[in-house]
Amino acid sequence: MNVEKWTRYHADLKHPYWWGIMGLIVIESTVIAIFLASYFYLWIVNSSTSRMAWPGVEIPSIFYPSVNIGLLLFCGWSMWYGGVLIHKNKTKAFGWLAVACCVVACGVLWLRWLQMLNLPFSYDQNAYASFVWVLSSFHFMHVLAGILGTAVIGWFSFKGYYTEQRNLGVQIDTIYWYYIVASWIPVYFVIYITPRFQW
Amino acid sequence: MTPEEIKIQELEKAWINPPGFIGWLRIVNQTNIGIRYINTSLIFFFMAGILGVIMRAQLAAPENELVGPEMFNQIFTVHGTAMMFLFAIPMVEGLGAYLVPLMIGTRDLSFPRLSSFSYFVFLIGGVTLFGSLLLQVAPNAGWFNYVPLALKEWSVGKNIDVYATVITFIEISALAAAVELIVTILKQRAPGMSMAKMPVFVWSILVMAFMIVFAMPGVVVGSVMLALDRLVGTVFFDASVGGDSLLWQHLFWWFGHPEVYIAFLPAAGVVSTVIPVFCRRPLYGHTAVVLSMVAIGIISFGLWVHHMFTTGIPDQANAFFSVASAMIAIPSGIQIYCWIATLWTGRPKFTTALLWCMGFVIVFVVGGLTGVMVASVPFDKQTHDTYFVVAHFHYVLIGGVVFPLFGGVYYWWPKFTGKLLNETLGKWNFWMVLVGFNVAFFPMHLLGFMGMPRRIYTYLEEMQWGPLNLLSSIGAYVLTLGFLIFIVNIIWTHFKGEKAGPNPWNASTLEWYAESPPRNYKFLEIPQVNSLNPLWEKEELKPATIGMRTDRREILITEILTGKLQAVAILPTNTIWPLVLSIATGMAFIGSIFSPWWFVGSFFLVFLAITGWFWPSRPWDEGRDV
Repeated sequence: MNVEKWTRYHADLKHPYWWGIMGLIVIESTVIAIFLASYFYLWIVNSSTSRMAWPGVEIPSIFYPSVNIGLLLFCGWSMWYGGVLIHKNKTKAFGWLAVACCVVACGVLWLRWLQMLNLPFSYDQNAYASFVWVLSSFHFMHVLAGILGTAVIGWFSFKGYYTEQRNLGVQIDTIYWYYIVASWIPVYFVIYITPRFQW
Repeated sequence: MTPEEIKIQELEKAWINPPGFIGWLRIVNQTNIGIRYINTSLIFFFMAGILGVIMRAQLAAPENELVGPEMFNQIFTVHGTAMMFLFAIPMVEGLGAYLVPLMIGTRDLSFPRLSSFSYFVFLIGGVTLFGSLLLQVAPNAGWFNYVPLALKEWSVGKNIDVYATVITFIEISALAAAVELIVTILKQRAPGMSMAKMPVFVWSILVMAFMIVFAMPGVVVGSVMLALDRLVGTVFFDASVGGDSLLWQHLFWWFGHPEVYIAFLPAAGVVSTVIPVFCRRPLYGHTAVVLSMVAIGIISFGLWVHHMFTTGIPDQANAFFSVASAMIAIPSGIQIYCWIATLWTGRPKFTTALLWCMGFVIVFVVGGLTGVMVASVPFDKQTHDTYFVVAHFHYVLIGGVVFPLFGGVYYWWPKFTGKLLNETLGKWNFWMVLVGFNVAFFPMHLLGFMGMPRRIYTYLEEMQWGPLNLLSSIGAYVLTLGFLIFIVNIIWTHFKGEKAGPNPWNASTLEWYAESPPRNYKFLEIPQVNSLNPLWEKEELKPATIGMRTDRREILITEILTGKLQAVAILPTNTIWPLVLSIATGMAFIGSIFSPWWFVGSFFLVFLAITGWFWPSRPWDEGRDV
């Protein structure tokens, strides 16, 4: 078979990077799943041995974390729509959506910061408190990484590097944003919502 | 020049390794990285082995004073940690990194820069662990590092901080290598190589890599929690405020038990490769062997609690994990049956490589039988934390991993270097190790029955453990001599070794289609593969495509199941950024032993390094097909 004329600009399942970012996401999802399994393990152990009533501290407000879901969904949408635009070779428009994504994601960080400052407990008060602090900070770090990466991608789009064919970096960054958005939902549900159920 | 000579010249230029020391740091070629992995893990193997010999020297006589209790704790912890994290995993990943692309007929791993990064992370982590031993601040709570002993309250110094941070750091290396092995195997097989035509060693690496992806996060989460508990003040393991000590054991063994099979499966893959070649017949029951590997990979995630039978967990859980532990003997047994059947129905040529594989079958079966014994809860309660368990896992790990890996090294050495290792020295190497190993470790079964606990630095003469311990230590010295012969063999071969040629064993898989040692571009043409044993077919291999560019690093992408040609992709070239990133990541983790702010500061350095890594070099082309 003659492959001379075949395109080399792949930005989908035909490029190894697409599979690589999936690998990273599977690993990080397993990390989060194991964190959450540990959370329920401690809840069950404490409840069944009457060692400590879970969560054992005042349950934090869900206002800021809930607003953050909305903001994160916007980030995911902006990157998705940016991908649509870049396929039409509207690279400048994509660049502005990347800027919008970064600005809104900075809002996510700011709200997360306020939320942490207003938590009714410190991280060393009990195991539940440690989970809230560590998982929220862990996700904070991911949003920060997403902002930095997207800023670079946006800068390259303004410089004219990306085209309707050469946009693998955009696709990889977008997939990672989907992960940043999607990973917050189970974390949010487990650490902020489940303590409200008493069964 | 002929067109073929021009092609070779262009490929040489496109795949060149830069010269000099700085150039060495920039190389991303998979054969170079694979060899670095193998060499470094063998060096760590010998260093950890010396620690084992020191332990045996200390235990050779009652009330010996060669090593004090604190140093002994550090020595056995570093011995175990290094053997598992710095030898077993990197060695099998290194073999995978070197052999997989050659065996599936591609020119490099999917993410060459990631290969280089993962090697440097492994190197920095390993040097830090051994360096901590020289400074006498090495981890000292055993390779599984149980809390509460490992918490700040009971382990005040930096020793456990080294463990918690360095282990997470090294795992990054293992996880990165696993992802690129998976992607390479799934997407870069030569056209025509469907999953059914994939060599059994590649299957073993694929299953191993998937296991790493799902098992390692357990120890990552555990060691992150431990580091935070110790360094920041969280309370995940503090039972007085809602934490739990056993959580550590669950997290550790969620990783720790699959880990045994992570090391064992590729070793079994080596055996399934070597035995057929020297029996001059295809592997008996190829499909059964592959399915057994997949089954072992899955079942190994359901066994971890058998390390915890004596922790007071409910009997029902004990029963479940006891049955699951016994169950894994079934797929293991199927593989052993297939190897015996291949030997039985073939015409075995007893080379050193085959001897190691046969030695493996015998030693591993003994380890497997004691494994079935300790899978039984009442038996385990009697022998838990005794030398019986030490004997058991050394039979499994040395028998099940070291023996086959040495077989693999003898088998593939001609591919690595172009020269055949000396067979006479090889046989001395094998027999000395086999005898030394059994003399060293068999008496430990009996010592366990006599009640000798693990991890003690000395014992009283009245316990009557002295003679068997002395015998065991003599065995350890013989074992060491055996391994030293291997080093002698390498040196001898370097100067006087016989030249190998591309396929000295008349083997059937594609790595023997490349030159020995392979060129940087591996294959002049990517072949079309129509068989499980392509080099044993009557028809010569033909190129799968025409029109691949030779002036840059191009590879073929194929479909996952069928191996049908799908696309052409371009791989990145040599760069210094993986080294920079590994140093920045190392600063984040190792620095946090002293202050969490190192992690925060290094986060931005990591970002800069990643940006440099992906920065597209100028001049940019059109960015679209013209």
